[in-house]
Amino acid sequence: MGKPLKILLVDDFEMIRSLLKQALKQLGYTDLTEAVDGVDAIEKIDKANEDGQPFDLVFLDWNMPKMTGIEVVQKCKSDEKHKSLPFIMITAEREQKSVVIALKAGVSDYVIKPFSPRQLSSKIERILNATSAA
Amino acid sequence: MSAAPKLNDSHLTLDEDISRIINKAITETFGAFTGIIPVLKSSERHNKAIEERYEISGIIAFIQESIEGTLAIRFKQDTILKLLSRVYGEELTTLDNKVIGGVAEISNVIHGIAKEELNMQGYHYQMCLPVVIIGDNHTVVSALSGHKLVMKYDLEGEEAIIELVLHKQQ
Repeated sequence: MGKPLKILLVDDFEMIRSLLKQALKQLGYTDLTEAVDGVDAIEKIDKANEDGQPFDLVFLDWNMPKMTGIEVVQKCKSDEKHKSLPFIMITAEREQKSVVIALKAGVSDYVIKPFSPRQLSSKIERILNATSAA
Repeated sequence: MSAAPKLNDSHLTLDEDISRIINKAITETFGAFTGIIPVLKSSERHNKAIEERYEISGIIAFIQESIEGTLAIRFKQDTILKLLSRVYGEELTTLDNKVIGGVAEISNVIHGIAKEELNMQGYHYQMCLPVVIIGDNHTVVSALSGHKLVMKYDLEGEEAIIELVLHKQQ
């Protein structure tokens, strides 16, 4: 593994953040930060960038209070500072049209709840490979 | 790929098909979140009132062109605390926001799996986001008239109950 990944986990439900943390720690990712909603996520993404330690990857829920996951992605993708930040959407919504909406908004990949560590690992690898190839 | 709509030739009923779909949703959800594979103890169709009382319930409402209904998943306090303690990796002792959020998320995932299965079979259902009810010895009474499908599960000695009510719109 190269440089340790700095990952932001965004979900309004603590249970999902907890499951994500457990799964990612099992996979060897330990630099994990949590955000409880979309607004908190934007603040933490901005702050990390200002501190010169930007996130490498964001896992985020779709349905959240204050700001949806899609709105977070759209806001970041329209901001030059965060344009290249990859997002993995985590949702219970399984319909194909939802996947299309997420991908159009700029999401790099999509994980359907309930997820396994293996699924998270393959999504992360895919994104890392795409980033290193770019 | 989605099947052709079944609206014109049949309506969803409390049959083996719906039992199978719910069973799949329950098994996948609890298996992934708690590591426990639920065992279906009983599956009954009736229109009697539910006698058992529970302390926390996740309720999902759903609607289609001709049918509306509710799906409730219900637990005793001790049961949900044990199950979610496994998920969080810490001992939970009260029905606090962690537990409420856990039941909401479990209901949400069950809803997502059931909706996908139903829609793949051509039933075009819309489901609402879940609500969670907490309170000692409460019951959930559906204002909809119709038969219930009641499925009881064993989760390594703990019980969860599913109540599905369907109502054909006039």
